[in-house]
Amino acid sequence: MGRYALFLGCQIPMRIPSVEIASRSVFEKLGLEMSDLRGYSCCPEPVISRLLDEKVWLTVSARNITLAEELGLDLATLCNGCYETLLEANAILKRDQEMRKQVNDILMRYGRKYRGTVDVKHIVEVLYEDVGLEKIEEHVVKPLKIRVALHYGCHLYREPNGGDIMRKPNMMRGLTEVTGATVVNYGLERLCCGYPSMQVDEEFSLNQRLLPKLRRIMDAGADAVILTCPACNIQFETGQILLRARGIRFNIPCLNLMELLALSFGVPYEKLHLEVHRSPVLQFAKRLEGN
Amino acid sequence: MVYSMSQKEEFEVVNRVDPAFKRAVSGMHGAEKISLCFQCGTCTAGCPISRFNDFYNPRRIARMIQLGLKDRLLSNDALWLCTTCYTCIDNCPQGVEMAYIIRALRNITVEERKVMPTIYKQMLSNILKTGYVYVISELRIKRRIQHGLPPLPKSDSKQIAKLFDATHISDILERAETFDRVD
Repeated sequence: MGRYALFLGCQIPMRIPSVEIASRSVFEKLGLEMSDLRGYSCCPEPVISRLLDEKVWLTVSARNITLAEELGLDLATLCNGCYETLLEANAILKRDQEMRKQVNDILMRYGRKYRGTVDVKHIVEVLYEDVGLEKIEEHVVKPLKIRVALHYGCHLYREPNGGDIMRKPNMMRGLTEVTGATVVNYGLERLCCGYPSMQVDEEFSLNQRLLPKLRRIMDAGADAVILTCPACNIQFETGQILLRARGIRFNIPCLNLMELLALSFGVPYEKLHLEVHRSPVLQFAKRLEGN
Repeated sequence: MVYSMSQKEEFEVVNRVDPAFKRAVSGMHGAEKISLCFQCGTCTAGCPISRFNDFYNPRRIARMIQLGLKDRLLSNDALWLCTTCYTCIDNCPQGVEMAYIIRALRNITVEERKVMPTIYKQMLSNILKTGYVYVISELRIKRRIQHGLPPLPKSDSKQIAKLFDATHISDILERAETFDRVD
């Protein structure tokens, strides 16, 4: 079975460690070997660093990729943001020799060199393409009889070499359905959750982005929202708290795909530390256990 | 009466246009196809921002770049409203990647005007100081251990700071002015 360099990022290990616990449990069950990447830094964050200065974004990202090159392993990411940064930086550096030279001129001062020898994969690609739904299904010991809405996250759609933008969202859907869950369509899947605009205008972010999504998700009769992006996860959770403070009462559990997989694999919910979520994920998991 | 411009007025109009601007923009990653925009407005129809802000209209921004209205573009903070949802890119019949073009404009604004949203400056400074965009507290590191997770690999923040210096962003970060709201 495959071996990867695991790029944890900042948000998952620090703000939603339950996703990391769930991921590690899933890797163990599937026999996926993940090497932690030593000395990695922020990917760096695609929305901020790249918008301010593309060169610093590319240089710091190239440095992270060289860490995986040293291990001779492809990079696997859990977070959509890290995925987009590392995927696109890797694509630019593989294609643009002039840019690669400029970046390497800087990196070589510090004893590193980007070579372009590894690929970057999102965890849904690793699970769907390298492990396969059939093998995953064998591990589903507790099929989940629930209805869920998917929020794919804008950065999951990126295909720098011009592929089908629904390629990875469809994989996420397949991986959700393999747990036994039914995916409900609500029509606003592609709309951004509002996380990036939260930093500029909270009212706009909540009322124009998150609220229409939540309304449609509830109308579609979903029991939970499934996400892969930690930033979207945080927006869905803190957003619901902030909306409640404004008298709009939503309280739907929002959990990561890896947590859903772990629950369907029979990992006890106590082990996952779901209490780190700010939506009722723990209560949701308890109810599932009772069923 | 036929209106005619004085020489001074004519000079001012010409002076507001920078014909080299679209080439500067199209030289940046993702912005190569700005000349292909034929103003159909599909980007704007799908844009979840443009209906809430008069300036933020991707179709018009594309035209302003083509015309070289550099100062008017770069002096408007509404450029920072794009949330990079990429809906415009997914819908464009000409393959013009508007969200990347907005990104190029922001890069130029930071470089030339040294201005950025306050929170962006804070987050970039976090990467510079600690290697991570989110400052990692001792409490969270302890909580990870309680949860049975392996220790988080340490970031080489000294090397990151050197990379920041080498790309000249440290310099810009030190001097950059900030703003909190887009009106």
